[in-house]
Amino acid sequence: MPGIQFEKVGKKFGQVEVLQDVNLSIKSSEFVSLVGPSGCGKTTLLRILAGLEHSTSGKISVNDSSPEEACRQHQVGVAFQRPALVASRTAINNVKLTLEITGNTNNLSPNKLLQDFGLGDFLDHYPHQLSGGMQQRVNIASALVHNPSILLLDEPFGALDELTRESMGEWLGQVLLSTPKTVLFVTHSVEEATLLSDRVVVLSKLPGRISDVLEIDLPRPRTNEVRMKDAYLKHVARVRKSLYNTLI
Amino acid sequence: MSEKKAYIIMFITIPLVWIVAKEISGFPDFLLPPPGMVGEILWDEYELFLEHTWITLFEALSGYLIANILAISLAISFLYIPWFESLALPWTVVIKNIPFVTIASILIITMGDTPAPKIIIVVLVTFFPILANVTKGLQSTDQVLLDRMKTLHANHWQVFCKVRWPSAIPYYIAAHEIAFTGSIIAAIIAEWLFARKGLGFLIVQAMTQYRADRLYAVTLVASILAVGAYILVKVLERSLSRWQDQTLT
Repeated sequence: MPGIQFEKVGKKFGQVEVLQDVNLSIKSSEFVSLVGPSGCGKTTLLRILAGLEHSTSGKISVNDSSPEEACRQHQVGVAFQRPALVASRTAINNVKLTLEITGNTNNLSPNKLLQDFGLGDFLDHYPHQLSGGMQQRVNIASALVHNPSILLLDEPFGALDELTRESMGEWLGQVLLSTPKTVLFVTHSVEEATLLSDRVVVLSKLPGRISDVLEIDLPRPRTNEVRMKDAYLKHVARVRKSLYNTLI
Repeated sequence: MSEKKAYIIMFITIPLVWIVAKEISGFPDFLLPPPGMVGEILWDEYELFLEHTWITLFEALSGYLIANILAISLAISFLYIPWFESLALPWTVVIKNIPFVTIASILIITMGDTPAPKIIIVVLVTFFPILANVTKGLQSTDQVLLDRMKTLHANHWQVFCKVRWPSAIPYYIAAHEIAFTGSIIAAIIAEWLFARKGLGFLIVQAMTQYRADRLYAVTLVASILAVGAYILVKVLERSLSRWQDQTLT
């Protein structure tokens, strides 16, 4: 079945149990955000999905394959909190790096992708010549260019200021409307998760377990205007309340 | 002030200081020859200087090339075979800390007046800074980039060529700054200990013959070679790290 399935997934680092009995099913083209207290295992869950860590127990299926197999087939794109860019490569060459590795032919055009991401004038700029928001856009473009069906985002806007963060959130929503992907988005921001997601999954404190799953039925496209609407604010309050419950 | 201007000022200042020092000290020409006299001997005996300079350069460059090949190979093997680094560490510590003058003497006794002992000395002097820097450069690649490569299922060769080596280049260039200049100094010292050719030999010959003019001329040639090596590294650094110099437009 396409999409992502976690069945009773657990993870221990030595004696420390980080994840326990995580059961979650993410449909194809669904946007799911993962929120929870610091250190509850959100990033670990994403890293297991990216094939960077192995679960200690349970089963994970990514488009009917193991996470490692899905990576081998280049079905997964990952953007980390810190942009994974080669300092000596320009923005365009950093995006092309993904294609040099994967050799995918069914890819998006790196040039057009960066144009669409508002970086048309910065193709030949090096990472240190770009602002934090621009670097993150190159980072996400690098994760998207080989056209993976799964996109994993680990707090990609975590290091940005509030205003940039909000505009980046709106921008990401628009990008995914034009190129739909199955997305798992790890974030600390309740507002960001509510704006972007079809569902918000709340993890409890260590060991991380799913304590709540909240549907966000706001119509798309969701621009920053939505942030002022009552329906949005109600969803934010629901997610926040659920998050507070994990701390009790 | 730009680096270029500072160099020009220095090259103008050196002969001026030289002339002033000679005037103040009152040393005779056979002890402290004036710049003109040194220039004259360089002009008159340029074939001799050229011949010996080539010999020193050959030894320095050969040794440096071998040191680079060995150090880079070893640094790469440390990266992919971690136990090999632990195994090699005591060897590198011991070899690095034996005074190379003693090793040079042993090599000269064993190998005689051939280029081999001089080349080996150059290798010993220049190998360790390259090894240390390239090892550090290769091992300090940003983990987030390595994670990106892993999620893309990159093979070892791709990771090395596209991520690890570019990360190591600034460290490698920094090693050249020390080691490339050091290769010329090492070759001269090795010749100075025992040789019948090369700039080191010319130094010994000039000392025994009390030829201060020739001694100063050799010093000048050796300095030009060493500074030239440094400038060459700087040019290489600029061309390889052009991306670092570009500013936001």
